Amino acid sequence: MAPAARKGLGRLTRDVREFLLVRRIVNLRGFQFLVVLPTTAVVTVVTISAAVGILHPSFNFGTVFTWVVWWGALLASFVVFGRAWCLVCPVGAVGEWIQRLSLWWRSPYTAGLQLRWPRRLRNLWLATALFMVFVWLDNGYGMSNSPRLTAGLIVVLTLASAWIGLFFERRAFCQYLCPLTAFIGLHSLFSMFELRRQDAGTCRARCAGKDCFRGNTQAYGCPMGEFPAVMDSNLHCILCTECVKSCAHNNLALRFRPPGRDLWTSRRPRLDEAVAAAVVVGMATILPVLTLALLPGLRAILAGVLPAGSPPNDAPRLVAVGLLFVLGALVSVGVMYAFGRGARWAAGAATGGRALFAGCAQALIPVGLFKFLADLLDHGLRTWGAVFDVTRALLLDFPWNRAVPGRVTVIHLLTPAQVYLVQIGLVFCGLLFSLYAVHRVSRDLLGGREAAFAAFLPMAGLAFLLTLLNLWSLAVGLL
Amino acid sequence: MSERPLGDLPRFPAATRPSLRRSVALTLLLVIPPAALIVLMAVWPPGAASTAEGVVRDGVREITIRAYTWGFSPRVVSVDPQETVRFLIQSEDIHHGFAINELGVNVQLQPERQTRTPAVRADLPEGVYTIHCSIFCGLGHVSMKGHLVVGQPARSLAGLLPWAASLAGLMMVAGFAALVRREGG
Amino acid sequence: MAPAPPARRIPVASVAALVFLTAATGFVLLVFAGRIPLVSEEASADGPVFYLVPYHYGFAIYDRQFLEIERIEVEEGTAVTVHVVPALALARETFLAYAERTLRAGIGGRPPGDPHIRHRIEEDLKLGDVEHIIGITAHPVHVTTNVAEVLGGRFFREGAPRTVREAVERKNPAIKTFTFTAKRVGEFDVLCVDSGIGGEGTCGWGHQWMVAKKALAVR
Repeated sequence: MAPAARKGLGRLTRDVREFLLVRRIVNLRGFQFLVVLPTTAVVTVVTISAAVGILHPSFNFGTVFTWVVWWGALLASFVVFGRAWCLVCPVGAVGEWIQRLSLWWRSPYTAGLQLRWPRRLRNLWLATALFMVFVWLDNGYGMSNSPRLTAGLIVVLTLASAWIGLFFERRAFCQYLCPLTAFIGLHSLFSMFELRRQDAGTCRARCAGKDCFRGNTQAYGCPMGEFPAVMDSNLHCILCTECVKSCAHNNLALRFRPPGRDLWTSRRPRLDEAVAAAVVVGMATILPVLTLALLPGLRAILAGVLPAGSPPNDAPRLVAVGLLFVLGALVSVGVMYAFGRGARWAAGAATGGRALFAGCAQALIPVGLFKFLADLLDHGLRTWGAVFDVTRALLLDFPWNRAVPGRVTVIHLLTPAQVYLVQIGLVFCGLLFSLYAVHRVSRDLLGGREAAFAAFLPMAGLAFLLTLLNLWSLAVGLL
Repeated sequence: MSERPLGDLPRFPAATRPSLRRSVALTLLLVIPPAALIVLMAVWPPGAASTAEGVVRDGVREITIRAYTWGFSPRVVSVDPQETVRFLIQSEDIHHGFAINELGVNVQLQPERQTRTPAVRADLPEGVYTIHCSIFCGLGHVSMKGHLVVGQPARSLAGLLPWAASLAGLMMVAGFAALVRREGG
Repeated sequence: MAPAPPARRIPVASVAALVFLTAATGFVLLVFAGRIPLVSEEASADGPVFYLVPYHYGFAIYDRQFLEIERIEVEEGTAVTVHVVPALALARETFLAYAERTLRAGIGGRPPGDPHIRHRIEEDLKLGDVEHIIGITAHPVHVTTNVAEVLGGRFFREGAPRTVREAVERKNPAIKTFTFTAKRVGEFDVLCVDSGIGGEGTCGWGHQWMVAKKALAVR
């Protein structure tokens, strides 16, 4: 049932393809390639600069553009467009190009074995573990201020994507192995943009081919293995628009929606998704505090057992950081599980502790997201000048980035108190969205208003606790 | 491990009557002690708040500071107005930075090596200035801050902001809960 | 639309991709293992040679015959070799003679001859602020001296070379050499770069003024 081409901003919430220009661009066979190309060019320059460029952190284009610009844009993109980074990501694209033997056209050939991803690994467990390894590399080895390690990371991920694309079907790397897939996917549940089927009846009664999943001669099937006809969550959708192009009934829409919708309308999260959500939220809130408090002591203990080295190659410290990350993840999961069970007990429910844990973990995603955004604000305001310095350095010796442009200056835009005020605003946004999500989760899971409210209170209490943690850890500069 | 959704099931039935009293008691029990602990840990970090005295050498006061993941020790440095100071900073672990924007100080720190800043004169109005880590060093980088106190500044209201924010957050949660209750779940 | 038949595998393409990826992976592993250097030194066989003496707080430049010149002047595209001979690696009188230049010129708002300057230089030596980080704007030059390490912290020993020529002829271990190609036309500064990435801090009080303006001219 094609939407009527009515004027007005209502099109934004029905289907942005009602705008002619948008429709033309999205329907292009080469749409994704066109947006991947510039990112590929930039990432290539970033990798070269990080691999051979000057080691001075203020002059290396690669590190600044990865950990300030890209990381910041990534977090900001979650709020509006969900997995938009995945749409333009060159790492995943490389694997796809090799697999499909095509850059954008619908090719009937493949270079790959098209093996199915093992059933036992079709979940987020591996991705969550790899995410923790990724963060451990950063905090343990200082990857984000090392140009060489940054280059190494990009190259390793690209090679991994290429190898996996050669052996397995679809975008198995992006879905199950990318260290950021859980991080990006879970935060995308919050976003204000979605790709969904419009009319369920059309898919059920009129569509026999399910081209959105299987593909046809004009377009590929969903590279993330989703079935767009029933997809009700942004968790895996990378907005590649293959399904939009393949749907014979034009029944898929790209549209804006209120933020956070997926947190309470999608089907109940699975255990792996719930644990991943707990880890991601914990990474923003609990884990930094735990590490700060326990790292020196734990390192000292381990120094009695492991040979010490010169940091960052200091085994006691590396192991201590790793252990604390695992502990932080367990604490996050444990705390959310405890509050979920407590909510169940308070509500007098016979079962549902696990469901409440899962719903609670997902509902708290906004608290974690907005804490990340608050961190980003502080970092961005302090290092924004570096973007100009490193661009200048890069242009002086393109693309090797070995030249010294001159002196470095650091300028503050806002005072610490002003920064904190904006951060409070962000943290409260996260709190409010999470409170609403907790309310909807408890209402949907439990029969009866009394039971739902009884379950709501403890989980809202947890949202408040995490918010308190965020407020005080951000306030360190003021105390 | 189970792959099927945790419940494409009807709502969970009640085994006993839900109890608001039980819920409130549980919430208070689970929230108040950790909340108190969080605030306590924030306002009283053991060992890191002591003020550095430093050694005066040829009219320049040298202050030794340790940088670690994620903080500076001592966290608070007091200087007199117009005093000339030099910082000797050592990073205990990875790459950190040490910067005081108002003094134009910004040095990179290497592990296990002491870095010396140039001698600078604290030619600033009395007040509290931020010492911060200028090299991104992980999840807690934004919290890696200290204070440079020049003179005897009047007590700043900025330190009250987190208290005000905490109270506002509490009121927000309470207000939301009241709304939910009123609308009947 | 017609449903898609299963994708047809092209064995040649699969093998080619396999070979390519294996080669790429092997290359990357070798780079990680340090067997393949990514950063190569530029050849300097026949290009002009200069000697640069960083002192507290300035630079002296000498040509191949050890005659002092005002600046490095080369043609575009030339491969230039520069040997850095830190003043601290030389004899005490020689070092002091260089330091006198700073005193005579005045620095940091201090007038020429101001004894405060000498006092600062002595203080920096006492505190160990002895290394310079030499950079040339718009060029891939970023070299740190290591006199402290090489000389074991003991400067002005008996028999230390009295001149730059002597230091070079005796192959003084504190000499560092770098090469670069003068690809850009214009005038560029030689400076002591901001706080070392090796955490050395700076060369002390006068570091921020240690800039030899337009010391490299490329025609």
